[in-house]
Amino acid sequence: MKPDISVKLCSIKLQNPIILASGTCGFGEEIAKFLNLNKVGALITKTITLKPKEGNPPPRIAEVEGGIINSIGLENPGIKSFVKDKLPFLRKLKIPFFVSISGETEDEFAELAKILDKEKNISAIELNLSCPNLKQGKNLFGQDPKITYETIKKVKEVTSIPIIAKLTPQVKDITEIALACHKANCDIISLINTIPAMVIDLRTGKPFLGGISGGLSGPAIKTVALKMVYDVAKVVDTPIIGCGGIMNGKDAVEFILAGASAVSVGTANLISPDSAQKTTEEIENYLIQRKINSVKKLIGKSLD
Amino acid sequence: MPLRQILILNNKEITSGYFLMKLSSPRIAQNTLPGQFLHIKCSTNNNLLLRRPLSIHRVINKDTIEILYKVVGKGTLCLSKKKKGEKIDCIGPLGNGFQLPKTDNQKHKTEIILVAGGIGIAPLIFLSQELAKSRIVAFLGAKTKDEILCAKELKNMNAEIHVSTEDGSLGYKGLVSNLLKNKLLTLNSKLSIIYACGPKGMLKEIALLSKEHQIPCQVSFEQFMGCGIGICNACVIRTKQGYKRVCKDGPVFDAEEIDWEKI
Ligand SMILES: Cc1cc2nc3c(=O)[nH]c(=O)nc-3n(C[C@H](O)[C@H](O)[C@H](O)COP(=O)(O)OP(=O)(O)OC[C@H]3O[C@@H](n4cnc5c(N)ncnc54)[C@H](O)[C@@H]3O)c2cc1C
Ligand SMILES: Cc1cc2nc3c(=O)[nH]c(=O)nc-3n(C[C@H](O)[C@H](O)[C@H](O)COP(=O)(O)O)c2cc1C
Repeated sequence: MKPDISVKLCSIKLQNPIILASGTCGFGEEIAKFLNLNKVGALITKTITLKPKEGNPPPRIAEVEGGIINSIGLENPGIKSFVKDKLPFLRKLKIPFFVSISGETEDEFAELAKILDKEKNISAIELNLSCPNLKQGKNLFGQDPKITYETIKKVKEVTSIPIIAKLTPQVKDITEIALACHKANCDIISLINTIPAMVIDLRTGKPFLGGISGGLSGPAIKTVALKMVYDVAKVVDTPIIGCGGIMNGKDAVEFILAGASAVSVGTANLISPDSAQKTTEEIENYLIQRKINSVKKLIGKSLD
Repeated sequence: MPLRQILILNNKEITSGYFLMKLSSPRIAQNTLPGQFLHIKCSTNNNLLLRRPLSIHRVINKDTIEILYKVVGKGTLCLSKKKKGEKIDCIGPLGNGFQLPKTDNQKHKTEIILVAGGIGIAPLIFLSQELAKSRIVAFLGAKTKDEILCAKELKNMNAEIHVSTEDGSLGYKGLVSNLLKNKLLTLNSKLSIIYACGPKGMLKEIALLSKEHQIPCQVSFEQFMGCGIGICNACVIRTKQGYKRVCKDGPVFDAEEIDWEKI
């Protein structure tokens, strides 16, 4: 018999645990030519901001050992164009989709959430907390438990759509941030975002990326992400989306064992747009081989 | 468009560091346009995660295509070691190709000016195949005479050929853009189109010349690429309407569209 691979994230039912990570599946349309979106667990949009953002100068991507570094710079069409031009396609999907947002202030996050609250069919809003808080200089929202708490609170005041907090790994203690999310009644925690990194171009003696530095993703960050998921799962019962370097079914199962209820894949989509499908099949095969009838039985198993 | 494992029919070094790979794929051969590219997984090694974009160089028949590539780094090095009989994972054909004159009559009347900088010749041979009805004048530039590729193929298509090398080992000594500049003064066809592919610096010079001489000009760009299908916005280039994606909006752009000042 086929094992049950469906999972739940708070009230949201996913047919399988594989989610397409923010920034690595656009707004669904292009990747749909290579992947049957109705077969994935869920999709998270590219992060949307209030105003359109043109992003960083190229080159925006570098390949390094075990990973890639991107400095896209949150290029996106802005919330207005998103609602008008991108939402209609997403609404036609039979799977849940989550909209990722980012603001420069807490109020901006709330303003974006308020706009999305009026729109139908959005299953969740993901707060990209890996961006600088203008009021705090270069500090990221997700680096400060108080700001994380305040931001989630403010967003929750203006919408009843479930909220996902996406955490940055650039913290001294991820559990402090997770506890702040929990205290703010955050529905889901998603981690991790990319890790800051750079490349020096030996030919020019200068930074290679147009944005000088960028975010490392891919296999190189998997073990870092796993530990953070594990640590967070130990301290909160909020459902977790594990993310970082997941390239196949085995990687995904490791995150689920570490405490994730679902996983998101990023870099893998850029390499092969249909990788989510393969990863899902591999999870299923893992369960069949071990005679486990439901993936839910694996969630957090390594913590026992 | 599903991913495909594609059979390598041949992979040979045609001159030091340059390889010609023959691939068997009826699907690609029958569905591709000049200027489009394949996004190729050169290795399954985790140190070579991203695919590499390579142009369709030639459509040999309804089953077979060729790519022509220069070994410049680890991806192309890996590719050069592949043997006949192996399969490679290719996505494509991808991207927007060159705009061709629409009717046979237009093709007949138009003079095609090809400008290739080094390996930039790769997509221009497929383009020439499709423009067999037109008069073709090709400008081939490279560092040395060994890197002047495809002159024979072009000659077989009755193209007029002008060559430049930076070291003067063949033809005009200097940049291909300067060679074109000199020749444009003597060419006086009313209906011409320039198609150019090569390094950014060269494309910029060609774009300036095309503007000066009021000749429509299409340029094909190279950029470090992520997904190749328009989802990650990594391979952007500055246009007058902001950044555009080389993989999805290009790789061929109208020279007028590009913001050459900021490139
Ligand atoms: C649409 C399109 C079509 C193309 N068609 C062709 C074609 O038909 N034939 C062809 O030969 N080429 C073509 N190219 C170029 C080709 O894609 C590149 O040459 C190829 O991707 C190089 O891969 P590589 O792994 O061998 O080299 P890489 O290792 O990627 O290196 C490429 C160059 O960039 C430098 N570089 C790379 N990464 C870094 C870094 N992190 N820091 C500093 N420098 C770095 C390297 O030193 C080297 O000079 C095309 C490109 C595009 C966009
Ligand atoms: C090209 C690219 C763009 C990304 N854009 C975003 C983004 O807009 N918002 C966000 O929250 N994360 C973004 N990310 C981070 C991913 O969603 C993910 O957290 C990270 O890449 C780690 O997962 P991976 O190793 O599977 O790629 C981006 C990652 C990549 C590679």
